[in-house]
Amino acid sequence: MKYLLKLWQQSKVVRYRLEDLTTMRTTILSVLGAILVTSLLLLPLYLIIIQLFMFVSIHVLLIVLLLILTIGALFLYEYAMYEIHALFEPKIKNLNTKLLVMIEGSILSAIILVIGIIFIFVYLRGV
Amino acid sequence: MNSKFKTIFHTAIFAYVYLMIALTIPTNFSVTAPNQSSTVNTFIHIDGKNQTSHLKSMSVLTMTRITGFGRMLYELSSEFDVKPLTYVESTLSQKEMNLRGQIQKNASFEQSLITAYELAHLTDLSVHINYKLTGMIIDYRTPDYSMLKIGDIIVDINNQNFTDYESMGQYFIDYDGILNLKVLREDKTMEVSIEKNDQAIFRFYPKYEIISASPSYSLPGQNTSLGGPSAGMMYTLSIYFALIDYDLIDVDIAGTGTIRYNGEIGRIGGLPQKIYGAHKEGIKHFLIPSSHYNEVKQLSHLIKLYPVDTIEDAIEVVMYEILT
Repeated sequence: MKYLLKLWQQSKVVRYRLEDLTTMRTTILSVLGAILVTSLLLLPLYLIIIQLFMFVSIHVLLIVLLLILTIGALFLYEYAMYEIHALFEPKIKNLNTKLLVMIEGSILSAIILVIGIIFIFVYLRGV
Repeated sequence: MNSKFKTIFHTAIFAYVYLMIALTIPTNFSVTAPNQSSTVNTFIHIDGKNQTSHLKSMSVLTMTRITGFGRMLYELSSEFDVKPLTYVESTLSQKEMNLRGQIQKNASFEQSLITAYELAHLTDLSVHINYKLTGMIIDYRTPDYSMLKIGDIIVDINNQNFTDYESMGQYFIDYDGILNLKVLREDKTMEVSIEKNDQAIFRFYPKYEIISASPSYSLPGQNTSLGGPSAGMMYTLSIYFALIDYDLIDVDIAGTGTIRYNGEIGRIGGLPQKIYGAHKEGIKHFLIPSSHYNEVKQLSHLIKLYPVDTIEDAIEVVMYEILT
């Protein structure tokens, strides 16, 4: 727990420094760039999984795969966003943005996981 | 290193674009796949009656305008039916297809209730249903007749004041010339005139208003996404056996077939996929419309098939063939 709190404090420090070193314009560009990169990389996988939903016997497996893929997409988006941001603002290369990727990715993944589990239970009850 | 990366990048981009085309561009094909069974008493519930959970209806999953990748994938499975779009499918949007599914399901509910209550009334006089014909609900019309919309209810033709569906439908089919229709659309009545031509295709279902029924019923199945008319026979059997308090059904019986206004069991689509679905669930008995028997008799090693012509046949098969 102490370790997690320490990580949280460190990530807050990195975030404050990041806010000083970046502008709104580069932030918007890096977010849009990260969304584009994530979509281009993962869209084929999503489209393949969606078409597999015609196979009724693997529905639960496909829902779990979608959940894992979505969590993967979150981390990929976070990573791509700070990498692209560093191209616009070379100064932030010195910051430990991987810590932010871990912390923010984990929080969002936890939310997605809860939603996913609720969805699976609702689906299984429907069956 | 840089040159190697460039080569990989060029190749990957080509493969990526090719893959995305295969995954996104629709084709003129549709697929029908096996689905799970549904317990009929979860669709129609008769109040105060013990309704068996052993009667199952089978549905299929369908998708129109599948992608090239989908076509390749689905053709790998012998249980899937991949075929070119029918004329009807090719002239309708997905929204209209979904609307048709709901229209067919609701028509099936009404017809099943009327048929089952009337049959049960012959055994038990306390069972009764009071209803009247509202008109004919449009399930399909060729795009030339876009002044009529899918879901419109034709309540009268040329001021003939029909009281039964058969004579109304026959009049519509036989009459050549201009038809003056009184149409109910979203609770508003309007007059529409059409001139039928030889190429015109119309499909209707009877639309009834059920005024009262004893015992009362509820339709929890109205709120599900499953659509279509093919569970009509199984709905009717489930309601009928509940109304006459017949509680001897102790094996799972699946079936498919529409219920028509005259008690006949009508044809349906995707029958092989429904049989595969029932077989996977270990169901041993399957009722089918007899007109389909020759198309699926080669699957009778998977499951025992019972071809039936009318709802009376289906009742006899359940009571005296399956349960003996």
